[in-house]
Amino acid sequence: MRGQGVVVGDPIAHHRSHADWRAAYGRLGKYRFVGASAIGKWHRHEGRPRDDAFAVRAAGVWLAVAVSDGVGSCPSSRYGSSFAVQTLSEHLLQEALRISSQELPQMDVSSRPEEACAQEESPPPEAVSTMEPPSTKSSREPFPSFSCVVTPPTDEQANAWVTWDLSLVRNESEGVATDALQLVSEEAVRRAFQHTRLDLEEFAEKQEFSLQDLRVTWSVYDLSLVRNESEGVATDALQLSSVSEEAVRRAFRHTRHDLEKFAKEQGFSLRDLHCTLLGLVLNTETGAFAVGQIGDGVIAAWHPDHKACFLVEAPTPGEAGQTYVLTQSRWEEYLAVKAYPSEEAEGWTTFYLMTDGVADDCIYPPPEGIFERWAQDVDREVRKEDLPQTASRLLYWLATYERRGSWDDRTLVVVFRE
Amino acid sequence: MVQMDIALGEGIRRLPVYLLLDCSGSMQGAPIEAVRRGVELFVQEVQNDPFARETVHVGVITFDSDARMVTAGLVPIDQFQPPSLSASGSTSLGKALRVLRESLDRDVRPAIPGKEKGDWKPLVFILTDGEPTDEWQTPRQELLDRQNRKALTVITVGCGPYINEQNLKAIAIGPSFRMDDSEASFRAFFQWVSQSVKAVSKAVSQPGGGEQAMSLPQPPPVIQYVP
Repeated sequence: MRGQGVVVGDPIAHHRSHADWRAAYGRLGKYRFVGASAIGKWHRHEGRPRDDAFAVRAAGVWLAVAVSDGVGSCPSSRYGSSFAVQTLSEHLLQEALRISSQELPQMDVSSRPEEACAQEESPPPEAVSTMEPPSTKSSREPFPSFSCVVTPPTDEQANAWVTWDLSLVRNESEGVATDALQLVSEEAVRRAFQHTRLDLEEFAEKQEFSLQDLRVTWSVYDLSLVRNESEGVATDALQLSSVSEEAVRRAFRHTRHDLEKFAKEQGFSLRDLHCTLLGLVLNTETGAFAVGQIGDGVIAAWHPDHKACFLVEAPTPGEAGQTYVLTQSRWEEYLAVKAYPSEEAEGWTTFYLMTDGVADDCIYPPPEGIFERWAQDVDREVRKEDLPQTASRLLYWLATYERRGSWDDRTLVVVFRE
Repeated sequence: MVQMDIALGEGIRRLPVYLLLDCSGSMQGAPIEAVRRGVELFVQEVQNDPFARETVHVGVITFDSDARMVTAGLVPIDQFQPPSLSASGSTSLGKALRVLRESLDRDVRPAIPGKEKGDWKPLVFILTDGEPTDEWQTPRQELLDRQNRKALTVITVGCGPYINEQNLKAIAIGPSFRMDDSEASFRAFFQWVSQSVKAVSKAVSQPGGGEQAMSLPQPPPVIQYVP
């Protein structure tokens, strides 16, 4: 029996389509999440795309989160990282729902790719996806011939899962994208972001681009539709209250296998797709969860009694800056997994998954105790505003905080209990 | 937009760069003046590079009859002031290597996973115009045997007619070069040092750059590789 699923975050990268900045948010049961990923200074300086990726996926009561960092010296690693997060999140949910071998289909929504931003008097659309389904065929296809700005959800759409991205049109030769921008005015782009309160002009100024150089897309999913469908499936399937460590290992193995297949089909060698991979699967009813990690980055949790801890520590080769990745031959020796049944998971209210672009800036002293402070600050900040604004603020913070020697892409997903 | 108020750590991964400069008597006059101007050029070039500006920390050791570190340990390049230099006495390169080792042990941080970010592999340039007048073999070996050992690159460059190429090669942990002692050659040397430091800074700043083998830019023709 197949489970339904909805996923937000980075789709599998297509030719030139991996956005420079992406944000997403949603809620499932008593948990909410915000995620954001921002291109780092190095890639901006070199005119190259972001290599980080993240995805958050839900089916039934289960939430799966994955983040990945494509290795910078591999020019195609964003294909690896975006494929890995889509695939791992899917396999983690399959393990949770005990569904074998079939991929989780995307939510069936009608797509209206040519729609420009509505004028103010137009009603907000229903769930509309601009996100192409994961495809094993299209990573070498030309840049999509449209740019779509959809009015974001209103506050009434409480169950909406949303992702949006901002991409820079990098040069004149990307004529297709330039044509598409003519459909959408700067004013339309600004209006689209009113809901999230992302001040695009301020953002553009900080990032040193012009709004005219920007392409924006949105995806909106009404999760209540998905839940109704998936609840039926979950009843029929054997639903576990917690996922075992062996199940997490299987999910990583399947992901690795799928990545090899993807590489072959797309004409890459596996080393072209070098990437780290971190994953969390959470039962939003019982609080039980399991994690897995290969490569650098951090998966951590926060307890209200002012404790922050790393949930898993992946082995490293040892030298500063070195890491072992999913796509290398002895990857299983460097994979760390851990399961936390509900009695062990009790009290942990907030989870953080981050690539090393963020981890390097928050876990190392001085000052002493910096990681505790960072975790507490993030926990406080994500609860201050509503989800759309929190996702914007997170994206803005990742894209703009200044830190000497901090050049990498930055990705952070925060899952927190209300 | 109200920025999120989130604390960040202050530790950074630095690229330590050492300049060991021969200030012996034979460097008096035009050569030491050329070295002084070369250091100023180096600082200017490296400070203007966006990657190097954030990672490079400089230590300068001068040697004559004695050796001393003229910087207060490793100094961020944007705070580094070129020292005044004068030339007299003999060529105590062995003492300079000892001072270097002490600084490596004291000032360069090893990586401790989860606790200490650690610095990148240090880059050391030794500029000398003659043979060492003290025992240097033991201090060189101590560099390799030191506690908290981290690999390093030591590039030796001999200037003028009195250098010993065999010694240059034996002292180096990496390539050796020679050049004449004209002002143009000193200028070319420091430009090449700047380019090398900028190239390494960029390589380590690259996401996932790490400790990969880094190739230095080709030196100009006036600086000849010692095979």
